[in-house]
Amino acid sequence: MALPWYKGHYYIHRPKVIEPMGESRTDFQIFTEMAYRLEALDPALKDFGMRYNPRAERSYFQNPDATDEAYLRAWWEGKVMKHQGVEMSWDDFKKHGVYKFKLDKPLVAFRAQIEDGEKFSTPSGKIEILSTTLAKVTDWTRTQYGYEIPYIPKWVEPFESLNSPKVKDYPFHLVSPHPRWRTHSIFHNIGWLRETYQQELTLNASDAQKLGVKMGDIVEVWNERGRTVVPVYVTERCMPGVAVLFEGAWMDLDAKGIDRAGNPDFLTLDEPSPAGAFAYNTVLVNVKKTDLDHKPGWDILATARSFVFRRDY
Amino acid sequence: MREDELREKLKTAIERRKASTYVPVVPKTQLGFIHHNVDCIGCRACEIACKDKNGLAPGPRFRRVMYIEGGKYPDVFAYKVNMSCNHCAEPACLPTCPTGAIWKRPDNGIVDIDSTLCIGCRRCEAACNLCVDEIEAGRKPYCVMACMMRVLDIGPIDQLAAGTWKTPALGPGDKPVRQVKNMADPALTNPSIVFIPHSKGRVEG
Repeated sequence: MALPWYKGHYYIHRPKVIEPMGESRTDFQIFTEMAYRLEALDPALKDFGMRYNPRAERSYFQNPDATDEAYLRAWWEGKVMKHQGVEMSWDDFKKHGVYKFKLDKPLVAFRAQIEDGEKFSTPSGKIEILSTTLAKVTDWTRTQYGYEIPYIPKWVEPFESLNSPKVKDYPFHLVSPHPRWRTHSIFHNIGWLRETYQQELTLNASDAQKLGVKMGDIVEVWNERGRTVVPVYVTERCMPGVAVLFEGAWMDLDAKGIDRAGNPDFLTLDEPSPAGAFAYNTVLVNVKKTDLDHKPGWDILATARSFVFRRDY
Repeated sequence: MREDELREKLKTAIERRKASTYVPVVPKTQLGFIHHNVDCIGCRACEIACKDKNGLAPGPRFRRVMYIEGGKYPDVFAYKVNMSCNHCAEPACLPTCPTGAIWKRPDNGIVDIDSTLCIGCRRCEAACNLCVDEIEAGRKPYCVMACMMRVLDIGPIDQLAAGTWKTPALGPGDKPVRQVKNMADPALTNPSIVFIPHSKGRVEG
């Protein structure tokens, strides 16, 4: 069962596609089994397993399907159909795969605030472009941020950028976008997806020329925090001074602590942005050609497009 | 002029081969693909859907999305050319087949392979059978169904080429063409595919 990311107006049924591989189990199977085993060790935990997972048999660790189905059916019939106005039965939903909610009128964000004059949940009750909370802060060391956050939205100097004096040693601004061929790091081991894309560092052609690297060469990308090895993809479609390395590749460390898989995690700063996000796009690095091997994963499944790319010049 | 000479030479060579081997089947309807080179985002879902249907391991891809790019920063461009077997009106693979496993269906012009006869010699290197089972069941091929941008579609090739076939791959004002850059001369085998070209991928004439 899934809702679209992030909480849309439909349910998607996610049936079991394959049997679990190897010894893998769901969290619920593992915790249920632990509850039963703890119960056997400690008499004070009487019926712990049954209390933790009331619909399960003792064999839940081996055969979870019927129990899981019972929970889902109970949830659909007792919660979704009862409280969310859904008329489609659980069996029909499973057959159909998707349930889309029917809305009486279009859902408009902040309708109550605009039409009925309800207050926004801000100190002033209005949409705040100037944050009155941030404006009142006098001692930033006592905040969760530790440094000043402007009270109006405006550009702030990133932790690292091409304006920094560190550019002398690390002349490239590294950005790490979401990869198109995996979800962060998930599905990086799927052969079909790996075949469509191999991890690579994108560089502008003029930068590549200065560094003496060609399309498909293996390069080392490094800064004071770490080092990673990856093939280079040379293009005019990247801004000079910028290097692109997709996040989420599975690391592969050698004996010297150099990542051979091209994972940008080894280059990023361990400092979250004020909103708590990774500072993935404010990283300075240097690049050079290397004799070290790139290891594109735990087995070679892909050919980098830098090796096969066709160009018109 | 050297290129013209070469092309003429190639043409006569192909004519010679055709004449000596077979008369191409003229199907009732020739199905073909249409692909919008500009609106395609290159996600390769069509490639993977095709591999899923045909049970292919990593390696062979019956359908391939080529990324074409060029220009000089900041004046750059990129587009995609998406091809599989093009089910040519005069397939060059067919007469090369030593076992006669390749045949052209008379009803819809699909170039199909009889896998019981194929010895895997790879002289043809064509493999897409346009999901003939799906078409016979009244559905579209897996690659078309997987296209989230609706830029890949299938239909009678003459109507696709004329722009008269109703398809989401064709936007208002779009004119399908038989050739784009990075592709062999369609006069050679008469492939059943048309494209909506990128302005930089257009072939003159």
